[in-house]
Amino acid sequence: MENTDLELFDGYIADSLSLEDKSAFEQRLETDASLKKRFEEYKVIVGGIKISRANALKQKLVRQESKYVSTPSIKPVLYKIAATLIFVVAATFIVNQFTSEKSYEELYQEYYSPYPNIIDPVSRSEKNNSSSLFQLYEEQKYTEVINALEDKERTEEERFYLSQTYMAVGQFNKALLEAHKISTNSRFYAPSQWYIALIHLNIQDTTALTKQLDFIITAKGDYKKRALDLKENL
Amino acid sequence: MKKKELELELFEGLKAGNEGSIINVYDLYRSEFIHWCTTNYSTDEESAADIFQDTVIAFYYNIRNGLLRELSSSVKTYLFAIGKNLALKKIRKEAKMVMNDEVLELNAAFTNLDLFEESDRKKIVAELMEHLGEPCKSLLQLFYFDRFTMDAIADRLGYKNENVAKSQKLRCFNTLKKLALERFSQDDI
Repeated sequence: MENTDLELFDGYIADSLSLEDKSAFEQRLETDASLKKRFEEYKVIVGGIKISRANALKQKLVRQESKYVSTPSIKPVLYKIAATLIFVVAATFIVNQFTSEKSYEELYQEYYSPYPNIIDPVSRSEKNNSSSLFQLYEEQKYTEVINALEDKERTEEERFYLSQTYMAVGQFNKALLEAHKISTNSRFYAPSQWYIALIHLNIQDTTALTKQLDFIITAKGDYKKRALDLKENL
Repeated sequence: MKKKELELELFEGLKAGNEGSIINVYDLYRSEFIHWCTTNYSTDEESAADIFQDTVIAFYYNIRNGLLRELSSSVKTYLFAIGKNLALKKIRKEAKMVMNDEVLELNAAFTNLDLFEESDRKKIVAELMEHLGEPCKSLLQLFYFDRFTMDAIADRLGYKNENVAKSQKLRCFNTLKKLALERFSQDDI
């Protein structure tokens, strides 16, 4: 597809064409069979891209839903939901064993979500012109975070969020190096161990991944359940 | 923080394309929605959770795609209206029966559920997206679903500038299209 085609189609769908261009395009669609065919193909492709993104978001929400299963303080009525979900997850797992195995990339998409900014979350109700590095991270201004942190001496918190930033932009080797430097007495130590496992998953280093998951499972911390789940899905 | 301020903050977060806000919306209204859905639409809890997940995604999509620019009602009102449409749609699909259309407010943010109109060919393209790999997958999703500008995508994915990201997008789109057309032609044989 020519760039002009794609730009024209994108503009038409986004309703950003001038009235004149829009009308000219609609007239061409009626007379130019080749253009009409390409536009129909374009709409199918874009529809597929949207489904793919909706599926990815759905997986994140399904994962979020599963967190309610292990919350001890939930009301009795919700235990039923929890029990149902456990059954669904278990059944899905068993079915998957006999049907299809997920690729490492799929598993990564399923398990990875950026760690939230817990240092100083952005408050949109407060007017503040300058954002902290952590707020820049939250706002996904990753280049700015990297530029500000890469060449300076970093605190534990900065180290952790720089590692997260590298992961978000796909620089996994740098993310791994940074995550390994988080000290054991840091509050970010446990999450950094989980993200180290996810980096190994992404770069498909099976040996290191298994070793890391075993380490997390043995440590019996907050990430044990997730590590067990992931290990079972490998 | 007052409920109204919280809702506004969540809405602004969704408008900014913040995935954390999607999760926050889910957590905030989940229990209430599931209770409401199971009570009013005779769904089981699992189905109600499934509907709510689709609801939150549709709400986010409608905001990012400019169908809902300002909050004229509460976030809860929008969510429950979308949820109602989706619940009815699911019931109709499962029951395979014709029900009288309930009159809902004719607001695009409530009624636009095209996202869930899945043709076989679109599903194939969605499958192929998994084979496309990164950065193409994220780039195309961020542009066509989340509606980020090319400038914002360049910043987010670490491209030098908007033009580099735009060229990459064209390459990614063409690769996906080629894969899709090959697959469609195989299926037609």
